[in-house]
Amino acid sequence: MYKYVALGMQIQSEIEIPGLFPFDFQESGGTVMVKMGTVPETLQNEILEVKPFSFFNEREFIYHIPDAAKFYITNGDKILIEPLTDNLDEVFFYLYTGVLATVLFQKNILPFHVSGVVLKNNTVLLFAGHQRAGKSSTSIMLQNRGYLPFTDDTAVLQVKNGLCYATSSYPIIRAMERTLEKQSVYSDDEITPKIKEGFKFGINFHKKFTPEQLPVSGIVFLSEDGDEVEISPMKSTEAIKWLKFNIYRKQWVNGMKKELLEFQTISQIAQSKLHFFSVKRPWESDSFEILAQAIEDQVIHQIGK
Amino acid sequence: MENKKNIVWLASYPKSGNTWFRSFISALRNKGEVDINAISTEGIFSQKRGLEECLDLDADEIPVSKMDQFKRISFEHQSNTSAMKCFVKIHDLYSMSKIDHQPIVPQESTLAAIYFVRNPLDVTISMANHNGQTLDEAIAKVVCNEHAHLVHSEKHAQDQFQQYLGTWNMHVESWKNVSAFPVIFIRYEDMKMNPQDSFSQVLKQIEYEATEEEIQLALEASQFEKLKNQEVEFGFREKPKACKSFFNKGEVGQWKEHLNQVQINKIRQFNEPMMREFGYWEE
Repeated sequence: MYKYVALGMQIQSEIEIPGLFPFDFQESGGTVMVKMGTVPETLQNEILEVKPFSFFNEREFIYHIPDAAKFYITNGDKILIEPLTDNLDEVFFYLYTGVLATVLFQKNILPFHVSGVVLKNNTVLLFAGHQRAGKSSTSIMLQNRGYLPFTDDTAVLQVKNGLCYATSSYPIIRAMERTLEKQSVYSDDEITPKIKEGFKFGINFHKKFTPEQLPVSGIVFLSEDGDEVEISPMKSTEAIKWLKFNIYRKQWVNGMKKELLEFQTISQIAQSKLHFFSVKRPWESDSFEILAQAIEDQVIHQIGK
Repeated sequence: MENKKNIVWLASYPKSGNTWFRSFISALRNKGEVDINAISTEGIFSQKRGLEECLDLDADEIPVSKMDQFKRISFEHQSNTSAMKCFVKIHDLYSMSKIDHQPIVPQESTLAAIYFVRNPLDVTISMANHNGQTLDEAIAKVVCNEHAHLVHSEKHAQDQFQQYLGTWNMHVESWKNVSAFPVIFIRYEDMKMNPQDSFSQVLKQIEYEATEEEIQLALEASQFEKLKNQEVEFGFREKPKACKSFFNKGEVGQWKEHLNQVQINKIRQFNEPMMREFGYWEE
């Protein structure tokens, strides 16, 4: 059996999953078991939502990516994989991006759509935003300036005693080619095409990965607007709207009956000791180096000392 | 399961009245209110975000070989799950996918298409403003370019998929040749000259029920100057970066003042058949 940790979950698998972080643990309740097998045609209980590639209820989820894989995820602790291709990298890709998030939803945990870096004081600065907002590019440009990667694309946020903590996902950064051209931290053998014929590449950062929870000192909400980089503090009341928008796979909230969980999670984060920032950047792709410097000057120097 | 035919494609070469019609539909649905940043039609064919929420995938990570298939699946789902007509903007030239050789749009989910056609001489002027180009560039790179595209590089993260346009003539002709579903052609110049009649006619042809009063109210709300004023006051999120104002002038016959004879001749040379077909040749 292979053992991993991802998004704070202990994962035990009968097959090797190269993109996850290996981690030895004593088996306990809640461990996620990954097996290979035939995915059933339908759910055992009533289907609450049907989408082109999935159908689900609160406790069961079938995900079928044509010519790639089928997945059956149940009770927040079982993943059954049925590959439909010989290319296991493609199968695992869907495991990392969609299936793990499903398990979290079933465990009553909402993941957030964020990337992030570790600051010098061992806290985390997160970048939130929709696809293509520049989360990964901002993180990589800050890594060029000496910061360590924390997570890419998703993280779990939990509040304890008024402090917000983040747990990272898995040690892969997904980035477009133009971002890779500007990075100076990773060697060519750490970078691979993420999906056959896709446009994104994966950077493996197993050696720098932090599986432990770290306190979050700030969340930066990224958007494209205007001609210059503009950074401003955001009130927590305003952040509620942005946090809601940045729940990863927010389109599942209703179908999986997580409305109350959404309200509770966002309220707790908004009320925690945390700085929120609005960062607007020009649309041009080459604005990320300037953006990274501005974030270092105006955000990290304020909260990350 | 049989597909529901709910989709009405709002098709056009860019800068031909498409956004005006979407604003009109939005006003019609909202009792004469329209917010250009919340147009209540059912999206844009090339936009990645709708597909991502529908399929639970990142559009930039879909293999190229599956891209067109997944787009069709996404809109089929939208059509099947909608209780009303879905108006979807599309700027793509109508064609078979180069990837899977199927039509680029899901024909089985299509009720009809409304094609907005505008004199390419005027399109050129609006296009130059839209793209931040000179008139000569708009002519050479877009209206007379057989390889013209919107969104140039598929390798860069942009909110829209690449869209193949071709020349103005190729674009109009491609939609004229569609036989799988009705395509209703409406000239921008007629929309401007007699909006009540032309908009009413189009609605009638797609069997969209609205009274003359409702249409009049929606037309007043979506007048060009009102949309332009909204853009000045609140901005317009569909405006490209290079464009100073999306709602520029919208006038008919601007080309007579702005284009020189060489430019006119070149546009006519590349676009003659459809210019003749739609009454722009003799002007």
